[in-house]
Amino acid sequence: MIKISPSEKQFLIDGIKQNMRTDGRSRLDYRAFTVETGLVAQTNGSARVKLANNTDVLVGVKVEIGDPDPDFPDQGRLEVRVECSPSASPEFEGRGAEEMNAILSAMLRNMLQNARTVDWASLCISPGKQCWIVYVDCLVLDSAGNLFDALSIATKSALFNTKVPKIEVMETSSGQTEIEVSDDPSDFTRLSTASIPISVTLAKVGSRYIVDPTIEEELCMESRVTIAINSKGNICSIQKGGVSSGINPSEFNKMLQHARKIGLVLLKELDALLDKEENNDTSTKIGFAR
Amino acid sequence: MKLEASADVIRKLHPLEFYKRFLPEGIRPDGRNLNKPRVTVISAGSLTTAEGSALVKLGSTSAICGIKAEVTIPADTEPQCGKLVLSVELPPLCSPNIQRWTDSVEQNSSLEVQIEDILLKTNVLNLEALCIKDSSAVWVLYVDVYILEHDGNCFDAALLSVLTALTNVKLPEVEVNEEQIVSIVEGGSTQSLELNHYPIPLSFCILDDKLLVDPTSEEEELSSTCFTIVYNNRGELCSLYKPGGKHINDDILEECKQTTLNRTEHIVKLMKQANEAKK
Amino acid sequence: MYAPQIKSVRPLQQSDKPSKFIGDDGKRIDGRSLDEFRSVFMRTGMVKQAKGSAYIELNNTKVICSAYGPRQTNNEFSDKGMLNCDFKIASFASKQRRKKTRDEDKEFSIYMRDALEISVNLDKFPKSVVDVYALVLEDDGSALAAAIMCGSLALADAGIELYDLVGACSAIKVDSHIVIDPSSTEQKYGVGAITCAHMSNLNEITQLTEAGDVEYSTMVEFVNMCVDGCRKMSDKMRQTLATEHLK
Repeated sequence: MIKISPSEKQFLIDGIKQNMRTDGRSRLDYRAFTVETGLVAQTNGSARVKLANNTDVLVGVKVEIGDPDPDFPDQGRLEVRVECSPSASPEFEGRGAEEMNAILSAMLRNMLQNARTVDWASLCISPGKQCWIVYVDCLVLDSAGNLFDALSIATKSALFNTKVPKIEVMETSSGQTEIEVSDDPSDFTRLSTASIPISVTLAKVGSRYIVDPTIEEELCMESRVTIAINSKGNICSIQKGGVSSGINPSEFNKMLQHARKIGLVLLKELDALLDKEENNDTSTKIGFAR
Repeated sequence: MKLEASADVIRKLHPLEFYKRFLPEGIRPDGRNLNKPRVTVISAGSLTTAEGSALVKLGSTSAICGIKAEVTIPADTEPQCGKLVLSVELPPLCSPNIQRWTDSVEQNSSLEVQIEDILLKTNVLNLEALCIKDSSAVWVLYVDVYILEHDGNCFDAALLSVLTALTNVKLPEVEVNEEQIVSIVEGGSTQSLELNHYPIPLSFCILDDKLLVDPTSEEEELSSTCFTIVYNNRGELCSLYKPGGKHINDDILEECKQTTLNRTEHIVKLMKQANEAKK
Repeated sequence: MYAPQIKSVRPLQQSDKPSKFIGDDGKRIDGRSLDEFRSVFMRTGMVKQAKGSAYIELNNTKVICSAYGPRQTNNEFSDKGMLNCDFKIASFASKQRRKKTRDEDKEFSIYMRDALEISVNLDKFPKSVVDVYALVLEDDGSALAAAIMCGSLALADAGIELYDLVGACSAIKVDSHIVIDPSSTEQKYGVGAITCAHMSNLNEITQLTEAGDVEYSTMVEFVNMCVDGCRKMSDKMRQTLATEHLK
């Protein structure tokens, strides 16, 4: 576990009180981030996001044909798995990563499936029998705080990058259905990712709250609220964490407003980046050398 | 400082000594005679999501059993037989000695084996009755028992809850169409399961050379041996389980058999009442 | 070889989606008004072996909870106590049989701990742990909220020092109306499932989770309705504790 001394903590808290954080940001400033897509050849879509060159996450998306959820037979299925690599932080050694993996994947699941921001009905192939299963596998390579937002941005980018092969459903003479997957790699459809949200994490430190906390700031925070915003400005999921303080309902409303404002700006930025990535010639990718 | 200790303190520090003050008087700390089982309460059908359910309490030991029915393909070797999948769980909430779900794995599987042996080997249930269509569709019953409080003798509570839940099962009427798809007949009748007999258990333990009926968890821990006898309502011996511990002689065994036999009628009556109360 | 194709009988139950969640009279399917709870039943002291325990019924949603401790931990020294929560849904608790281990249980265990830990005076039991175990016997919606309240009651029953009781409440949007304490059908087809835990005396939200695409204004309304609901529930919890312990 990373630990900071009480005086270091006080320094951070006092700085936040005066709207000056240790890395020069004000309370509601977001760090710069970079996005690269299509890095992992074996996946249907992938993306790597870096927040201020330190928080580093990689998301791979695979699509497979499988059985639908019996509760929702006419929809596709989502499987999210987050793995915090022990190399990212000593905190993630052994069983330490388990809880973090669970809350991170819960947040992504809530944002994508439970919030129904992806058109899951379009991923149904044959109701009750066959559907597309979307596997979202996330790997945290390095952690410098705010894994929540980094993962949400990377997931949206990876899904944006995802190519679903075209298929043809045929009925055989015996009444059985058969599925033929097109073997032409350029024959694919895209997922509709326009309404997929990204999350904005606010951390309450002392009596103030800050956006996009660094790892040191995460150690001082009393509670965390991760709010997912989509391009319509709607709120798609909320997850509160942290166990040392509650939040007053009126303060909570203010946090919602701020998160919404910041989220919309970030989304615009991300859309521009993704468009650029998409139009770039793939051969110019630098990938992990960057 | 006063050196007087209250009864509770003695009970914690010298539990065996504490019991030795009671047992020769023919009475137990909870007020029961040595040969008296705890008050048994049986209720059925309290869970609406399960096809059959039952809650059994032996004093404060309580077990809840829920049965879910699903349709499956029968095994090739037994094309007409339905399936029964049993699981028993001692969740951490039931006892201070279990802190994690994994702590009770051994106890769970030993209870599962005992109950499954009695249900299937003494033919309590005709698995053929669970057949929907020969070699293509049968019912599978998932019988899940959770011990909600473990104050000794959870085997008796678990077995009784399984039996009561089985008698409480209502299977919907189903039909199989040409495409081999099974569907529920809307507005159809429901079918209950017939049990061939009711194996009623009673557990005993020997503590300080005294025979105690229906032990609590404290008595189980202090005892030199525990054993269980199961008789059915036709007066036939179904199971006798004594996993190690101190030897017992025939006289004691005979006495226990008689006690168990005498109890069967009362318990079967309770079970029937529980099921009728729900109707 | 000819393999018979058997489908589970379950898909037929898909027809459980009602055409209308809110009737013309403004009432829900089960006859409740929009901000009405189901009949609530609370009790403490169900599990005698435990230090404290509680049982809650929100009509068909049934949760049992017990608290043990403070007991010693093997973790490294800490001058504050720890709260450990375990949330589990019984395999027979819902219409569809559940698998034994699911991601959801772990997720909800964390939510439950976050909701309750703020209310516990952890300074009172250094280097030890209090365990709270919740088992959902039947899930007809709002199981997490019920488990949080049940856990709070169990902690109180165990005599663990608390700053406040934690009330909890779920809400969801169906047919463009917000309803609180949703049933499992409402929960399955509604949008924006929110669960909120709140300490009424301190007026602090201890835990809040939401999933579903809703407008900002709806979210504000969600939070307000949930906080109101939590207040009602914590009053009920206080009454329960008072009557059970003054018996």
